[in-house]
Amino acid sequence: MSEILNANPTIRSAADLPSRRREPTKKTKTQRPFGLLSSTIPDSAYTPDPFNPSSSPESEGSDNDEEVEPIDEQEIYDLIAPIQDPEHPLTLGSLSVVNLPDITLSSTLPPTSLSNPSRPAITTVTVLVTPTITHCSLATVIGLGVRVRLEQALPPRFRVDVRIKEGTHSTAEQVNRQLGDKERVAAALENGTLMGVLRKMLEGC
Amino acid sequence: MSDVQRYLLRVDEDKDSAQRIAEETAQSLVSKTKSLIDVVQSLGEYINDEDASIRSKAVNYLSQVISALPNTTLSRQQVQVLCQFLCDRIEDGGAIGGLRKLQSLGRFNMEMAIMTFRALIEHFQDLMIRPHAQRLQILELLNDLMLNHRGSLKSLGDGAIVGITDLVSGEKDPRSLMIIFSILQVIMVEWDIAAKAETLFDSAFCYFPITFRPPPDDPYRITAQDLKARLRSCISASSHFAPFAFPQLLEKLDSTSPNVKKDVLQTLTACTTSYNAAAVSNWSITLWDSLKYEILNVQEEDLAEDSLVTLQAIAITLGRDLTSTNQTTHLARFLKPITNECKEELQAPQHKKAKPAGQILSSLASSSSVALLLVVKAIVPPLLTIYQDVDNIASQKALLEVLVQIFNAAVLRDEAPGMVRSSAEAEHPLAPFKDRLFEVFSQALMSSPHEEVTFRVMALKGLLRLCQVRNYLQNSEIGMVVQYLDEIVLTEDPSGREDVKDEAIQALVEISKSKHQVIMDITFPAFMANLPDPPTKDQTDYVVTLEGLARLSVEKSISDTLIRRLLSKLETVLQDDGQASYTQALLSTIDYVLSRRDLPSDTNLSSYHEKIVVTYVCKAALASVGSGPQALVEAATLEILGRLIARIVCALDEHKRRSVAIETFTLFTQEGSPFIPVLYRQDIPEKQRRTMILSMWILASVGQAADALYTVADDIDFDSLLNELTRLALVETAPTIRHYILEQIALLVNRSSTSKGLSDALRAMYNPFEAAQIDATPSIDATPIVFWIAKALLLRLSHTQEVLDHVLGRLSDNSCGPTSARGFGLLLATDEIISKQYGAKLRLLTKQKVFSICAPRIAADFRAAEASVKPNYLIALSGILKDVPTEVTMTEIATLLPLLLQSLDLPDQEVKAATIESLTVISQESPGAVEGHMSSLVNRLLQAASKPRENIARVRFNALRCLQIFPGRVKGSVLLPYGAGVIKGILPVLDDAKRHVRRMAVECRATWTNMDEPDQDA
Amino acid sequence: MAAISFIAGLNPPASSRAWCSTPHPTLPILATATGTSLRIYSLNSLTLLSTITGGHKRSIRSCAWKPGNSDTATIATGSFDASVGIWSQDEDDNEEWKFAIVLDGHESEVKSVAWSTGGNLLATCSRDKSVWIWEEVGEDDYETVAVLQEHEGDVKCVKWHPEEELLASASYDDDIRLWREDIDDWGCIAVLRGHQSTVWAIDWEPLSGRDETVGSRLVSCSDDVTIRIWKKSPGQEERQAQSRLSIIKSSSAEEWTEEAQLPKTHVRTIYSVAWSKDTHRIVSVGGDGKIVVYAEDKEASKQWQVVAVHECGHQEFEINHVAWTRAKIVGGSVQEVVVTTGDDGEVKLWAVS
Repeated sequence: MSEILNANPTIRSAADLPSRRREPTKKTKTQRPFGLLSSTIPDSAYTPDPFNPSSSPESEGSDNDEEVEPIDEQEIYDLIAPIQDPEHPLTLGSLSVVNLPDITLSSTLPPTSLSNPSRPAITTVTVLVTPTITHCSLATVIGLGVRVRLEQALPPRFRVDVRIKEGTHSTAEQVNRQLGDKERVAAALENGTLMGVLRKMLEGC
Repeated sequence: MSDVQRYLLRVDEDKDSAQRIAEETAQSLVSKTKSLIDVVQSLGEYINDEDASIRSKAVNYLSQVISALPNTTLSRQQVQVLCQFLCDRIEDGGAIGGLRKLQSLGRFNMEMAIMTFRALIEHFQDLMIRPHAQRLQILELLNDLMLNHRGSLKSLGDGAIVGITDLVSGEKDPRSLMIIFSILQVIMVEWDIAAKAETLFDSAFCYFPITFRPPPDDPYRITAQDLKARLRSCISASSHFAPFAFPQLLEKLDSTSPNVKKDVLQTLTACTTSYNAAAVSNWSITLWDSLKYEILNVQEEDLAEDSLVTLQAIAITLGRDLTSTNQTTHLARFLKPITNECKEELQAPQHKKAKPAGQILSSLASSSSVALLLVVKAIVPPLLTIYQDVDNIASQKALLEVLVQIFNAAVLRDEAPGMVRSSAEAEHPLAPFKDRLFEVFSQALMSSPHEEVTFRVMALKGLLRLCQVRNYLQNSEIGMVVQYLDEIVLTEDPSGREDVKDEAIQALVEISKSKHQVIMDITFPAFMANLPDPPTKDQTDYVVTLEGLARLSVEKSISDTLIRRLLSKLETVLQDDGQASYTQALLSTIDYVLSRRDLPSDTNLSSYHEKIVVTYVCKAALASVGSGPQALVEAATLEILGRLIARIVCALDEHKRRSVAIETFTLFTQEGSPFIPVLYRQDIPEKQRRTMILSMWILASVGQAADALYTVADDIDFDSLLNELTRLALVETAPTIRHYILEQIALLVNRSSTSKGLSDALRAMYNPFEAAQIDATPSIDATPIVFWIAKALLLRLSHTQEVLDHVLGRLSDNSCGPTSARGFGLLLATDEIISKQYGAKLRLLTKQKVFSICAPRIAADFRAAEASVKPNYLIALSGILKDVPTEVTMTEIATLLPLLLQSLDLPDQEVKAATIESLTVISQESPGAVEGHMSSLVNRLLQAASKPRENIARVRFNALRCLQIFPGRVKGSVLLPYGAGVIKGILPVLDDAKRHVRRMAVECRATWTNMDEPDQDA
Repeated sequence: MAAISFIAGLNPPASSRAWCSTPHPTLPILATATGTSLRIYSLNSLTLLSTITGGHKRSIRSCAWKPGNSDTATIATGSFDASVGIWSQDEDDNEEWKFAIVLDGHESEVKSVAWSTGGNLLATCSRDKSVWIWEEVGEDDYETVAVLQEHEGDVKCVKWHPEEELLASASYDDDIRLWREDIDDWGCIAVLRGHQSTVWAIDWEPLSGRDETVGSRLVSCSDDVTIRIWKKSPGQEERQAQSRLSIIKSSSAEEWTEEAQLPKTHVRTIYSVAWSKDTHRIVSVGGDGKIVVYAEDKEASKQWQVVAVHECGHQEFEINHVAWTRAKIVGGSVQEVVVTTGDDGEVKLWAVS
């Protein structure tokens, strides 16, 4: 049995992890007026009248398209928290390897500029990774997992910088250098065994 | 030529004919034409031939002859002689068949059995090298001897054991193994094996672990599981095996294969359960040392669980009918190191090993009452001290979780049968710590910050468990807990996360099951007092209180009181004509409480009929003409009141319902009262027309008794009522009221018991204006009436063809085509009113029948239709499809698929979303069907997903979900050409404005990327 | 302020990331490395001529045309599968490309390949921190002339001096090294230190328009978001001659210093830089999607300023490579153009006014 590097990490229960608070959903007809008390009313009573679908709550309810939900730190966190730790049957969120306060979004290229108004904005996502123990050799793999997950899940206008949080790892500088090298990351993704490890880590997402 | 010669000649080429020769010889013995001695003598020369195969065939011939003989022919003496004869020649293998027959004979005595058994043992070397089929026969012979002559073999003592273990070694074939294991188990359980325990154990354990994979078409259907189970029962058969079983099993626990580890753990559990306490106790500590690793360093979830089960099995065995609680018992010595180690782990409550440590403690605590006491004594005090010094909430929560697990064990002990709580220590193990525990948990619940949700929920669970432990807390203490819970439910602001509130109500419901008096005395009054008389305008928290009351009224006496109090509250609210929503909430609560009861057999049913149905329908009717609280005539109030009335009326007996039916349209108002029924009157104010909502619910709930309606007055017969309702529906402007009138029409038509009624309905369907005797004006659209009548008829499959021809015909009409297309969504949709509950006539095959007619017809008409009306057919199809089970749609998939694909080009978002949903289900059910259309399907789905201006979020989401299911279902070869295109096509959707759409885009793209990557070389 | 204007994109573009595009020194064709294949485009018709596949098991990172005037073109490819492939055009059917030879030796991904001006030497470098020099000794037959292992990190780029047999290499260890053949074996003659992070690319000052007395200068771009010009310190000639006689191979016979840093315009890693033969201007591209052109102020030499900037040349994608070449754009006259290659798989031509 290969010696586990960190046999006894601290765990945070899922319910305590930061999550998006349920926005107060606008009450629509499909919402039962009195919650539990009207649970006696079967669903068929709420099917929209086929003759004037526009009146049906479905189309004008939670679906108005104008309201844009921007990509924010919480969404970045939700993308990487469920990544599986390579060593434990636990997620990076529950191990506090990734934390909401350690994620920042900054504009690299402001959205509009004189020369080319229609040109897209570029945003940089910076994620600081906290390895469970200071000399953990898996820090690079974990950092790589986070970067690959974000590069696959975010639109191309995002630049992903993944770094080890200062003071949390003995060889942070070398690890950061590797994680920042786009070419080495691309080459690593073409290595079968490493991709196998990464795919297992990303299975849970 | 003698029989034996003929046999020897034939036996090689044709076994059956040789068999027949032997049977002929047997016949001649029975008919006494030949004597046994002649037969034996005829063997003479062959039996001693130097060629072994000749010898064995001759013996085999004799065996077959004996086997063919009926049981009674051979005398005891002959049996004796034959047995001796065969035993002397056993090594040739042919004798086994004969011996098997002989031992089954009544005259085969103990002495012969021993002789046969000895012959087997002495020649086991040359028997063992026999081909497999014969070896199996030998084992079957041994098995027969064990079955029929166990006593005689047993008398041979250890010699027999050693002999048998030699015979059974080195087998591979599953059938042989099954026999071997059953033989060994008999010996292990019934014989005195102390002296030979090790040899016996080794003869079974050498087969561990079983790594057998049955051949595909295995005729004997023996599974690895069967073999494992039998071997396991051998290994755990006797306590004598403990010194050998435990060390060897533990050694195998280090294997790297999870299956082997699982087998080892389950065998260990079997052993610790069946061996006696003394045997187990010698090894209990060593077992703990290896199990500890599996449980604390959870690598595989299920292996950790199995190890926990094994550990508990040890505790159960050591604690079985043990009463002494001092520290010298086996159990105490076993628990000591464990509780110490767990205490160590719990010093760092937030770490990974803390949780499994808690699980160990609770599983051991629930193994026996003495164990509970020992664990509590060892663990609760240190836990409380650690709780004191630890500062952060997360650690405190982990500690509370361990304590709650121990409380769970205590509650389990209460419920365990034959709970042996010896009088010596009458006091409960947790008693000495009661006050301290109560204080810790109460403080955790009531004085920690509200956002610490999981911490407070854990505290709440702890308090609930303490209340549930039998006679542990006094009523006063339970009362305090109930007050805490009430305070949480009633006062905490609802915007916080709901979990704590829900848990509090759930806890109150649990407590009411055992201590309902406490709930009656404390919670009930508190909740009722919290109900505002006239609530301030924007106050809506009364809903939470009502909900709490509703959920609490599980027990009959409580819910009776609740209904009485709610009715009186309703009375006061209506007096000063309070807000409608409060009235509605009160009515909903009453409806919810009644829905939880078996009304038909309820003693208060008639009082509910009087106090609710008659009183409030009449009140509402009068209110609709202005004399009474206006809250009652709000449409929403009438809907809730209608449902409540229907629930009560449905429970009434047939006779009572007839009398109610008569009041359907007069709404229980007497002669001369200001209210006049809506029927047959022109331009009535909307408030009065709203009473049609009530009349519909009454009409529905009286069921077939509605026919009584036609006996009341001569002008109310089916035809005139239908026409009048049609007229009302046509002229009605308020959508809700029109909906209820249409439901009335459909209900009447569907339940009509005469064929004349059905033809009246058809006529009204064909031309609603003529039926209503009003002239057709373009501003009024009669389509809804046509489709509601069509629905009523189709659900009972009356005039199905005419109805479908009519409605399908309307699709090609430019004016009523589009609305008719929408109408198809109504035909098969489930309807609350036209249902079994309200006496509707429903035919099971409606959906299949309607679909089998419509699908091909729509496909054909669609092709022939001009471009302007083509969308109508697609919308109609999507309307039908949404309510038809997929296995039915599959029958017509070939004709429908092209239409569905074209529906994706329609601008109509509802149809597009529904069509994609159907395509998703079809692709899941039979991917083969869509493979032919892959290119147009993938392109259209990509368009639908990536163009936010033309598609609403629901369409974009559905398109991505449909794309996502293809990999893994549709053949890889079909999908490969689209891989790169899809991955690139979805790229822009990663930037979609809607979060849930982006989420699905990420998942869909990941699925296609993973599908796309064949396993590269390292 | 001059302007960078888009001329055209070569089509069809690749479906995923393209690493670099190398124009042929003489013929109007260009090779783009994307995935495991090379796409040969015509600079006249701006369309795809042919695609060379099957040579490498992993992505091709770099490619270089062999100089020399034979009518059939030959190209070297460096790939992540640690091998270097050499391909040449079929004499009679220009569409077909023959797979001449594979040069195996590197232990990990090959990052850059470069032919010497005469075309007889091929330099390759890899993540295994080594720079190899191969010599063509016969028809499709190459020999390893030198294995240079003084870099302490992944070597990102190698470039031959336009005239002398002098090789420059840039590395992950923040240094640039220069190599010369000393009597019979190659050694490092200079280490150019100054960059604070990985040096991604380097390019030599073209012969035309340079200051004779100083000799060609070197431009480098880096992850530290700076672009630096290097030159050999004056008064080096004599010492260099004398050193050749000394038996001890002198470690750094030459002294190179940083002459200037180009004005800061990029905000993220700068991946590629190129020095134009015709206009003597420098162009750079990087992770921020910007294309920037710099010119040297004639009077106060060693003063550079930005003459043109174009943001989001490849929409929101990063730009991996840039090169100058001369092309006769459809119908128009032959003019100097900038070629950029991006993560969107596009290869775009730009004119700089």
